[in-house]
Amino acid sequence: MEETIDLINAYLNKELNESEILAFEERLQTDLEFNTSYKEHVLILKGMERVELLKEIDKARKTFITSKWLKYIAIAILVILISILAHNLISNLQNEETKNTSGQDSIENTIDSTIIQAATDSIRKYVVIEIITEQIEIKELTKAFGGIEVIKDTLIKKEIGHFTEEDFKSTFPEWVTYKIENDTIFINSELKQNQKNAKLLKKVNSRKTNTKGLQGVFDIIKSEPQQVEFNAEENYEFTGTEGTIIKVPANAFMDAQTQKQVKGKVSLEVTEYYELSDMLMANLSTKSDDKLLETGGMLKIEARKGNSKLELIPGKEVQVIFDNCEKERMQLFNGEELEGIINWKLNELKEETETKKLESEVQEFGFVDEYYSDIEDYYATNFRFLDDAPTHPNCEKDTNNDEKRKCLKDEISKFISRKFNTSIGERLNLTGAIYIYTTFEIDKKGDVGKIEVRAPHKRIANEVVRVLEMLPRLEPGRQNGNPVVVKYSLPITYYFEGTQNTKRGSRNSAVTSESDSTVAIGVSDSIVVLRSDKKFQKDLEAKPISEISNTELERYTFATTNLGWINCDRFVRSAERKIRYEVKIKDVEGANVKMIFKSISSILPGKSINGQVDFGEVPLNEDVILLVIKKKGDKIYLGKKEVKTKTVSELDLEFKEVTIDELKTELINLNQGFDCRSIGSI
Amino acid sequence: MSDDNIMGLFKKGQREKAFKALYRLYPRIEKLVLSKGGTKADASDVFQEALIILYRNLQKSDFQLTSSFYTYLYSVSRFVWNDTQKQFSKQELHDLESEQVAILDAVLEEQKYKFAELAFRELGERCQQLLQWFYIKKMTFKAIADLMQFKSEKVAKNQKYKCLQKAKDIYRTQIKTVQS
Repeated sequence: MEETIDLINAYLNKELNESEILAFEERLQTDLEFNTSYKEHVLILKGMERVELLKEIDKARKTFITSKWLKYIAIAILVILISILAHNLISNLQNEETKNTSGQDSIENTIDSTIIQAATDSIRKYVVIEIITEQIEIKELTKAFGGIEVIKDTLIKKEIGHFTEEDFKSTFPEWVTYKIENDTIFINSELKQNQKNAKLLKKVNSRKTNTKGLQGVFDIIKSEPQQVEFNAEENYEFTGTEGTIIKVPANAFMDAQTQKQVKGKVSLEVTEYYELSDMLMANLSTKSDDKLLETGGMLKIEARKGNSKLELIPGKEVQVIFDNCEKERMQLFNGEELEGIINWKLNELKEETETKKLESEVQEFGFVDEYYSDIEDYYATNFRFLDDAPTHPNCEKDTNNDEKRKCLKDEISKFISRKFNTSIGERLNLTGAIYIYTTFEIDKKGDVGKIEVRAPHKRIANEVVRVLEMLPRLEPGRQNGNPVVVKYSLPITYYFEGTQNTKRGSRNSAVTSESDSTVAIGVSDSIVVLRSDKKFQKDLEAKPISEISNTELERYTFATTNLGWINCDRFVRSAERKIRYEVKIKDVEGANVKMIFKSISSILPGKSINGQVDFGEVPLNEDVILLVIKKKGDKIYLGKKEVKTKTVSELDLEFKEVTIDELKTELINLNQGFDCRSIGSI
Repeated sequence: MSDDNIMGLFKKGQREKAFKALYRLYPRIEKLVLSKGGTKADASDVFQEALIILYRNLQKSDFQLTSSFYTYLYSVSRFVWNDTQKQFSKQELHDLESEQVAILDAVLEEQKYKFAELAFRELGERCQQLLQWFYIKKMTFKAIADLMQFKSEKVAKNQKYKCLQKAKDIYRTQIKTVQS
């Protein structure tokens, strides 16, 4: 059959020679079956072609409609222009009649036009492009020497946005030198590095220390948001100075108060927190209820139209691509401010209510063990209440619903283990157990759709989508005889054993995470990492593979339906015992105390009560830095000490008086080794 | 733009531009459909079909456009509309001239392709993408395998075959349900 298709393709593409063509056409006349397959093939191709044609026709239609409107608008403008001209003409005539000083008129005219020229200059928009110099080592193999290493400077151009020169200067004061060519402002990243500290200090100086209390200090030192304006009716992509990419779909905003869609220009304020100092200066910590988080970067996104705050329209998602971290198993958290401390909540994909009652049922289904119970909460599988469960073609002999269900599960598992391209894991050097979590829907036709995958790597997620899409059409689930959409969740565990052999194991024999955790602090088993979002995937697929940079694959893409505080985090679960950590510090009343973990990117806030500072539960024997900032009168004091977490602790802390600039420098000094982007995976 | 110019665009393969130019005929076709009791949306659909049928015929080597684009699109649109309304009296069919018979044939033929289109759209996204890359964009299996991260060309080829078969299966079941 496949050969027949090949032959037909060759014929249609005119790749056959004359005698072959004759033979082909002869066969069409005599071989009825061949004739039918030929006709069917052509039919499908024509159908496919329709998709393409319709796309083009639709485009043509749209330009037709817009050009029609443009025509109306042009006519309207013309009419207005003519009437203005006529008006001017008349008034000029009148002027000439009254005064005869015609010379003055022309001078005024020239002044007017220069002002206009100047005005258009200041609002003229430039594309700002950052030039990053990167050294790339190229090994050239030559016969004589076995290899020569060449180091090449490559220039990478990164578009930062569209600004007027004025805007550009105020947004990026750190770019002291820049170059303007035509419509483009070029900036060079090397210059920025040197200017970074200067920028921080400059900002400090420009603000005055007149706010009272400790909050006032933070208000001064926290970094300023980057602000951009764009048209809400269009898709917009924003790249932050630290590399975060935010993709906003068109027509996504509504007024928070009136709940009405917002059109036209809106402004987006984004603050990126990747470095410890940035987080400390903004008084941020990494805690989700009582659990410690390790951060891969935090963001604050706010949108405004004029003075009113904007929210995302329900159903609209903003994509956030964090510039981080080779850390795996990251999740997206949304921040809620509580008593000045931000508590991070897992970004939930589905409503909790529908799942609570199903928890027990899913357990029974046998798909879930404790690893997944957290996530499983968010998904519903309404299998139990179905009259007829979806049926796999190989399961038709099973009449009982439970049998069908089990058979389907087995068939899907078999299918995946057969089709899954394990070389992907090898290429990524994955070892050990990989947890992949998928949900999908079996629609009314019995097709698999709405696949969502969370896997430790984009490529793995892609592979799972690929495999699931190949599933044969199932008999759809039925309720009262009518086909219904059925949700299905499927955790997959893969064992990659080094590079040689790949074994697939059943979930029941999964290893516990403690056993493979060699570091004092292990990482929790919450495996939520990344939603295989179709758009990003398409973006990737649209490019030839050579153009996809590694960073693009290593970045984490998230979709969020909330603005505000966003954090790319993972839970930290210690292999060590947890203890309640309280420490006595003298003169600690009213101070801001933070615990900074040296081995992971985590910051815990402390609560001080009667000279005792309470950090809640922390892992035992961790190297941490305690940082205390307090304010007495107009003076700021800073104390810091490196300690190990123990059950009982008393601390002699020396405070030294610092100026705001010194405080900043101290905090920046802590950055070493903390920047979430510089830490390798644990 | 004159008919000759538009024809030139089609010959140069600049389909989209040609379609754009032809859209200026749309208001008159819209009037036709509206006068027969259709809506604006109907008119837009009818015109789309007419453009597709025109394009298909231009592809045929033995096709000669004897009238203007407008006259041709007008009569095609009329048939498309009547076909959707199933309004062909026996007398009418009997009286058709040979040229009109050809148009009616084309309309009915396109109707079949429409089902094939629907079947194709039923496929998964990747399947659609793969088939389009191969058949419309004429990409090689090598390039497709790279882009879709298939292990090898062979896998891509295999997938293509499966996707195609799936589309055909869907088409068959669709036709069955329509006929029953």
